[in-house]
Amino acid sequence: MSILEAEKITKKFKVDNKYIEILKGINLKIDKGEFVAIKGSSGSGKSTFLNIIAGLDKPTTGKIKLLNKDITYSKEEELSKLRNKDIGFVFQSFYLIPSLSVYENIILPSEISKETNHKRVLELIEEVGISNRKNSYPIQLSGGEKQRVAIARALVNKPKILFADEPTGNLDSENSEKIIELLIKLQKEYDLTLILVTHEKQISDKASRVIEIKDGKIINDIKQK
Amino acid sequence: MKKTKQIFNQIFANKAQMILLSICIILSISTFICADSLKNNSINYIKTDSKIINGADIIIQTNKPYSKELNDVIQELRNNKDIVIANSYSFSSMSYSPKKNNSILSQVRIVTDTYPLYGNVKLLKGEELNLKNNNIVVEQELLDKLDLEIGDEIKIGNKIFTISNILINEPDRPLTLFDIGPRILIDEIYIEEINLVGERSRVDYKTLIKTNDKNDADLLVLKINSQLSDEKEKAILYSENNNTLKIFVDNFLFFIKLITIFIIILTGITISSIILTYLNNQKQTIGIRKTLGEENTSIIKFYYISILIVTTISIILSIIIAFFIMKSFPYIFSGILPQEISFTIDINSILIGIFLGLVITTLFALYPLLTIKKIKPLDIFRKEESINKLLYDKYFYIINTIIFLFFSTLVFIEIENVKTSLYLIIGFLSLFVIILFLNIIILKTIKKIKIKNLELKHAIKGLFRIGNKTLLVLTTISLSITIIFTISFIEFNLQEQYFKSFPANSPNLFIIDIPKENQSQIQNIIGTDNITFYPVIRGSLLSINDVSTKDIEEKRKRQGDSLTRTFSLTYTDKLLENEKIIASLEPNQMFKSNLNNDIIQVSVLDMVAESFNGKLGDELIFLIQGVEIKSQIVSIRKRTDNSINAFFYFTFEEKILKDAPQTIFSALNVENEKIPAIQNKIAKDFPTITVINAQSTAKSVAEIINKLSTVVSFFTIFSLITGIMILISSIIATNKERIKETVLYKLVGCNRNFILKIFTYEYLLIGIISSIIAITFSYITTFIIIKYTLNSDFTTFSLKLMIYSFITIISILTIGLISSINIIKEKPIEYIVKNQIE
Repeated sequence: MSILEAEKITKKFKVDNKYIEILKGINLKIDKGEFVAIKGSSGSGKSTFLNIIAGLDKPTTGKIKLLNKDITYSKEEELSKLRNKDIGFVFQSFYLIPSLSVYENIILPSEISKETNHKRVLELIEEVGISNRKNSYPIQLSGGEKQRVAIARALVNKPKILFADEPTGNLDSENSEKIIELLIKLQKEYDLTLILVTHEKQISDKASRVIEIKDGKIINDIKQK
Repeated sequence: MKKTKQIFNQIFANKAQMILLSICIILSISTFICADSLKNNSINYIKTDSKIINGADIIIQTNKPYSKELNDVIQELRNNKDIVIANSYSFSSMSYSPKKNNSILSQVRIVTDTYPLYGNVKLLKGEELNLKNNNIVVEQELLDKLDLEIGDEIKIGNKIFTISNILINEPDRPLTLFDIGPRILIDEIYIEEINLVGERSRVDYKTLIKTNDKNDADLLVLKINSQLSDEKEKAILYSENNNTLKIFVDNFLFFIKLITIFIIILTGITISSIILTYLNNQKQTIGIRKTLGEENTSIIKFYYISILIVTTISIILSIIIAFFIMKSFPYIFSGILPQEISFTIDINSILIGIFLGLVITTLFALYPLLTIKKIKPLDIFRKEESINKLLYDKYFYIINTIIFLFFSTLVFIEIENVKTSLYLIIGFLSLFVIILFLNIIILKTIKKIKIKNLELKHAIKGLFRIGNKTLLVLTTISLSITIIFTISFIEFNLQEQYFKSFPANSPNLFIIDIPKENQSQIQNIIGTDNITFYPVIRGSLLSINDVSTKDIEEKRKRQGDSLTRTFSLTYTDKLLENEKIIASLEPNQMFKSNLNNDIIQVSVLDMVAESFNGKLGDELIFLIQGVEIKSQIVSIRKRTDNSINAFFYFTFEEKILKDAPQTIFSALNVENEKIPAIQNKIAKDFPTITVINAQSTAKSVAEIINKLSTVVSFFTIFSLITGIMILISSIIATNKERIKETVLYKLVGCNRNFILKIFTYEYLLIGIISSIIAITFSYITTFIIIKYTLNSDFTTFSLKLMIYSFITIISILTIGLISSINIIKEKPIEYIVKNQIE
C-alpha cells in the first residue's frame, strides 16, 4: 500500500523575472516500510523534491498524497499536526534548539502532542548511544552526537515516515557510517518508511530502492535487495 | 567608487539595524540640541537682558520700611545728576469695583515716574506709561474677573482709580508663572492716599538705581554698603542678583539636562547593542573577506565607514528634527518661561551635537569593531553559533572605562557643579549596578523554577537564548521605566500633598491684616461667632544661644525657609486644634506656670526647631517692633495635619505681646456661595484688609502645577521612546535566533499559536520583571525625595501603581509581538532552503 504518492510534480522558481523549472513532472509512489534513497548530483532537484513530498514546500503543479491524505494545499496548522505525529525529519544541519538540552530537544515533540513519555525518551537516548550526554546542550556536542539527538527527536512520537536530507552531509566518514547504520537499524525496528536524500553512492547502495533525479526528472528507479 | 557602492549596498542590506541606529542617534542628538539651545538662549537672555530683568544697575531690596540710614543714602544719591532712581513697592491687596460690587486679590506695584529704568512697559493701547491723574494700568485678568473695561473705576486701599490701559508686560517681571492675581501699576504719588504701605504691611521694598557708567556701579555698590549697618539693607549689582527668574530657570534647566544626559547614555548603550548585532550578522562575510586575504584594518575601516555614513545622515536629520521640536517649545513653555527667551536653535548647540553624535557612535562602535579581529576565516564554515567569547577581554574594560570617563566629563560640563555631578554619576552608576544585580538574581531564580506549562517553560528558555542579552535589555528597560515612574510618582505625591492641604472642612477664606479695632466689624460681616482670630506681630529672630542667625544661616547654606526672615509671631495660651505638644518643661503644657517672671517663654513649632536643632531651654532673642526680647524655649509643638490651617512657628504668652502693634488674621470655613459677598464687603469697607479666597487661589496653583506637569511629561516622552528603542533593538539583535527557533518548533509540529504563546510569555516576563524593578526603585527614590528633601508626606498610590505597571507590561508585550510578527509567520521551508546545500 502506498504511503506516499507524488503525481506530476513540477516546481518553478522565479529568478530575475525568469522562471527556472527545478522539477519537471515527477511521479512517484512509495510503499509503507520502504527505505528509499533519492540520489542526484548537486542542483538536480533532489532536496527540492524531498521538501515537497515531506509537506515543507508546495509544488507549482501536481499533487501529493501522504498517508492517504492530499496535502498539496493543506494549511500550515494541518501540516503541523502531521509533522508532530506522523512524520519525522533529520537534516544535514541537525536543527537542534540551542537553548534546550539533549533530553529537552528529544522530548519536545511528545510534549507538544501532550503525550509526554519520559521512558520512551530515555530508551531512545540509550538506543542512539548518547546516554552520557543527555544533559548537555547542542553547542557542547560533536556533529555525530547532534545527528543522533536529531534522530532520537524525530522518532520520539513513533512517526510513520522519516525524511532525511543529507543526514551525513556535515559528518566525517566514520560518523557517517555509524549514522546510516543507526537509521537503518531504527527503520527496521520501528517498521518506518525511510526516505533519504543523498549524493553519496555508498549510502544509496544501502537502500532498498534508489531513485535517481537528474535535471528535475527521475531517470532511474531501481529496487535493490 | 566601487568601495563606496559596496558600503552603500552594505547599509541597504542591513536596513533594519541601520534604521534603528539612526533613530537612536536622532533621539539623543535632537534632544541634546533642543535642550542645549534652550539652555543657551535662557542664559543669554538672563545675561544680555540682565539689566532689564533686574530693572537697574544696582538694586536695594528689603521687606520692611527703610531705615533712616538707608533713606539718607538714597536721598544723597538723588542729588547726583548721573544717577537715576526708581522706587517700587509690591504687595498683595484687594481691588474692589464699586460698579460691579466685586473684588479680586491683586498684585499691586507702586512705582515712581522714573520707572522703568530699563526696557519698556508694554501696554495694550501702545501708549507711554502714564499713571498720573488717578490712572492705573491693570492686567487683562482683572478686567475679565471683575467684568470691567478700560475707563471703569477700581478702589485700592482708600483710593479710587481709573483703569486707563491694559498691562501686557513689565520689563523687570519676566516670570509671571508664580503670580497669583492680576498686576496693577500705580504711581508713587498716591502711596499715602492708598494707605496700604506701612509698618504692618507685607511689602516688598525696592530701590532701583541706574548709573551712567558701569565702573561707577561697582564702586557705587561698595560706597552704598559701607554706609549701611543693617545686614538686611544691602545694595547688589544687577549681575550678582540671584533673582527668582534665575533660580527658577536654573532649576528648570537642571531637570532638562538630567533627562538629556540620561537619554544620551541609554541610547548609547542601545547603539552599542545594535552595532554588535550588525557585525555579528556579518560574521560569515567577514570570514570570507579574511579568507580572501583582506586585513583586519581594512575590514574594520569598511564597517566603520558604513556606520559613520549612517551616523552623519542621522545627525543631519537630528538637526532638522530639532528645528521642528523647537517650534513646539513656545506652546509647551508658554506661561512658564519668559516670552523674551528665544526658542531658536543655537548654532553652538548644533556644533556640539554634531561632535557628540560622532564621538558617541565612535565610542560605542569601538568595541564591536574590535571584535572583528577575533573572527576567523573558519567561521564561514560554521553554521551553528559558537559561545560568544568576545566579551570581557581587556579591550572591553578599556573601552568601557573610556566611555565612562567621557560621559562623566559630559555630566560635569552640563551640570557645572562638581559635587552635584559626582552625586549624579555615583547615583546613576549605583542604580545601574543594583538593577543589574537584581536582574541577575531574578533571572537565576526563574531559571531554577520547575514550570509545568510547556509554552511558559520554553519562553523562559528563550530568555537565555544565545545573543539574547536579556540581562542588558532588562537592565536598560528597567532604568528607563524607573525614571518615568519616579517622575510620575513625585508628581502624584506633590499633587496629593496639595489636595490633602485642602480637605473638605479646611479653611476656604483667609483674612489678613485685620486691624485690632476692626475685629468685631469683620465678625459681623462674616455673620458667625464661630471664628478664630489670631493676633499677628511681625518680628525677626536675631540669635539662638548667643549665635546670630546670620552666622547660623551661613554655616547651614540651606535653601528654603530662612531663620533671618521676618516671622509672624503670635500669642495665645492654648494649643491650636491641629497641634500637640511633643516636648515641654511642664508636661503637655505650652507654657510653664510658676516660672521666673523675668523669663519670657516661647513655644516653638517642631519644623523650625529642627532647622536649628532647637531644644527646651534654648535662648532665642527676637527683635519685635524695634525691641529686643530674650526668650526661652519652654515647649515644642507639632502639627497633627498638613492642611492649610493657621500655624505659627513661635508663640508667646498673651501677657508678653498683647500690647504690641499687631494685626489680626483669621482662617475660616464658610459656604462657598457666601465668599464673594464677604470678600466684596470687606474690600469695599476695609480696603487695607486682604481677603484670600482659598478655592480660587488653589485653582491658580493647580494651573501652575499642571503647566509644569506638561513640560515634565513632554520630556518624559523622550525617555519612553528610548525604552521602546531598547526593546526593539533587542528583538532585532536576536532575529536570526528567533527565526531559527520558530522554524525548529514548527518542524517538530508546533503551530503558530504555540510560538505566539512562547513569545507572549517571554515579553510578559520582561515587562513584569522591568515593572517590578521600576516600581521598587521609583518607590524608594520618591520616598527619599518626598520625605527627606521636600519634607512632605509620602503616599503609596497603589492603584495608580498597578495601572502604570499594567500599561508598561502591555506596551512591552504589544511592541514585542508587533516586532515579532514576521518571525512568527516565518515558514520552515524558507529557512531550510536558505540553509540547504543542493
